[in-house]
Amino acid sequence: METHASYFDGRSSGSRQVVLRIEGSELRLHGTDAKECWPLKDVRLSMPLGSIRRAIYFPDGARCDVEDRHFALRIERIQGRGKFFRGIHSWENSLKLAFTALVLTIALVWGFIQFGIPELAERAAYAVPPVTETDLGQETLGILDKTFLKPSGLDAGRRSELKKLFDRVVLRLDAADRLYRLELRSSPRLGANAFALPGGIVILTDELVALAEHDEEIAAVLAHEVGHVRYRHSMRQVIQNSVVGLLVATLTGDVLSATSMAAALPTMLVDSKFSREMEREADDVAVEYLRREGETADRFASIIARLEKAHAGTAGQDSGGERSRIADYFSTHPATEERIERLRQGR
Amino acid sequence: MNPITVTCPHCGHTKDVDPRKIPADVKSALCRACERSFPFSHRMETDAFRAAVVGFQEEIPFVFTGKAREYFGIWIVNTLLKIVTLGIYSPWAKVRKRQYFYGNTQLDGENFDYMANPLVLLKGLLIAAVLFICYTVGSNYSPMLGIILGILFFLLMPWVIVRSRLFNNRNSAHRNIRFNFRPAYGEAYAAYAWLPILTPFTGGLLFPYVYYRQRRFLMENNLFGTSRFTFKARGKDFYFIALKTLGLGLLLIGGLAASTTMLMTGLLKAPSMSPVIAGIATPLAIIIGYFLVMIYAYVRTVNLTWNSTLLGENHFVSSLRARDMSWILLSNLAAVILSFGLLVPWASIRLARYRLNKLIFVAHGDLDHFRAAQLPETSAVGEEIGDIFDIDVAF
Repeated sequence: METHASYFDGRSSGSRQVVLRIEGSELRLHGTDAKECWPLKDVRLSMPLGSIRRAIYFPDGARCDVEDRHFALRIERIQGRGKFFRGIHSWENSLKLAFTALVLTIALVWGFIQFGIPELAERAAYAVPPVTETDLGQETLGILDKTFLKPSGLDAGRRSELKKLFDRVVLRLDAADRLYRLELRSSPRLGANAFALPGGIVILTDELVALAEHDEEIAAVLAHEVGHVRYRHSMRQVIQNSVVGLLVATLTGDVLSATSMAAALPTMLVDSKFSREMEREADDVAVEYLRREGETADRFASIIARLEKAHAGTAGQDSGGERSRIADYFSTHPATEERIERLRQGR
Repeated sequence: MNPITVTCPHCGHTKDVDPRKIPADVKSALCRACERSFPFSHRMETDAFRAAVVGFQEEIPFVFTGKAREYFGIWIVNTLLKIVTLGIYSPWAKVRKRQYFYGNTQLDGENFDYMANPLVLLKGLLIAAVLFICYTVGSNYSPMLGIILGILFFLLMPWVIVRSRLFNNRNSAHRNIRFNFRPAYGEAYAAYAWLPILTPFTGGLLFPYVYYRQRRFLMENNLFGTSRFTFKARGKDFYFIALKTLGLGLLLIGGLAASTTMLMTGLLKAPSMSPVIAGIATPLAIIIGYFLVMIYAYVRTVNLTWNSTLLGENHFVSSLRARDMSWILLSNLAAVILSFGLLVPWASIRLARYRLNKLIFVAHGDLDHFRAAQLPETSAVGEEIGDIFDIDVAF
């Protein structure tokens, strides 16, 4: 088997036309003034790529550019090398296979964000030392106090009642793993609300206290928040969001600007709600508390129904109507009806 | 009458021609063998013509033959394998990408070649990744440590740039002659550390000069085999571009301010223009205006850099146009965003084709006389550090 090739000796930029011939296990080079012979196992081929002609590199630094694909393939076959990149090359060149690669890539990125990151975040969250978590929570509270929250307008008597209620919830749930602390605030912007920060800080708004018809309802909400702390949901959320940010940054190429996660933390906590799975976990803790108190899950179901109604009213949303399935899927908070249904069934 | 022998200066193909058949006003001839034209007049005697060829300048265009469809396959397989192997494949992906672009760039019918060993790159990548993790963890742990590490990296950067260029050039070749780079660390520290530190104290006035020094450093230390590159631009050329850019910027700001005022005061009647639309349109116009000014400055400096560069006796002509470049870059950006990144390969090919189509190598004599130099092996640490921290030294 033989072919024509351009020969570059690697010492000067001049080229000459040569004929390459495979003779047994040797590659013979017939040039205008050169006649060389190299064992096939000593020559190296460039990777097959697109429709670029293949280069044969000789041990003395010379190179031949070969137009003939089959010739290069023949050498590789005899050498028994290059299988992997031949496979890659045919993969890249087939529209169908490239499309498969595209679908696989999208599926993998989606799967990683959906399953891989939450799993990683959970492990990482449990590995965070309690001191760091407390510091982070304290810092976040400071920023929230400057932005969304105002001091509570409740009188001292009511405040101490609520603190006692919170202590009872923590005691009932045997939650001694964290330094739990209740912070009472008012927030016209956030309305009736309660949320948990990393390290065990639980924030309760005056608006929620006003909305509750019974203290056990407030206790159920607090138990729900204690559930978020118990399962490190805030920490997991923070880690998840920063990993997603890092992933996006690496894909778009801007790595250094994604390092500061502390600045984005407060808004992230308020804006992004806990994932559906996390909400269910926390709901179960609320039910666990109510059972131990001898109450039913109805207490919790009725306050979240009222919360939903209050928020739908302020946001101008359709509260009791049917939700479209798409909207339901994309909201991270499980639809309230679904949650209430689940609570009542679990009774 | 005796036939005369005409020799093609490009390929040496000869042909005997009857002088009576040559038109009187002929200025150039086309070679049948290589299909390239050369200056020719019928009064030229064969020997006189040969003599003319010695001082002959030939314009050799760069030709880019990459295809978006082909590169899409390479790009998507690279992306998938990088994800599946958790990044281990990225040196191979990088080499394939570079090889595709180099291999499809031709000068005088011969393509460029990228020969980096992915295993060497992998080693560099691992070191760079360790450094990056140190930096991230360090700066999250304590801001002070972050600042110290930042200063360390700043001091390390010129070294990284030199190593990165060394590695890259030594693994790039044309006609089997490798490029090289002179490791001028002193110059690198001046251009990338000391002068940038001084710039803020001059109110930014030093910036065009610093930029000039960086371009000069990158160009002048290149070698093709044993042939040196020279850079004949002056600092004042860069100040001239800076002034023109500034002027263009002021003109755009003025225009924007005028049109906004007219819209606000109702001088220019736009009934469909609600305040909301004006509120979106104005910042958008500012962003696009900023892009256009930056692209203008970029195109001018790229042209200046190439047009001031000599390789031995040969020189380059780059004739990029700001309006073409703006159109390509802005439409590329729109296409990439609207396709969720799927048109990235198409956009890269399109940009490379435009840039290379506008680049010409003007050769004095043939391209066969370049000589190779003896080269030691180079590690890829600098290359990969430069890559992961996004230090862009390309032009």
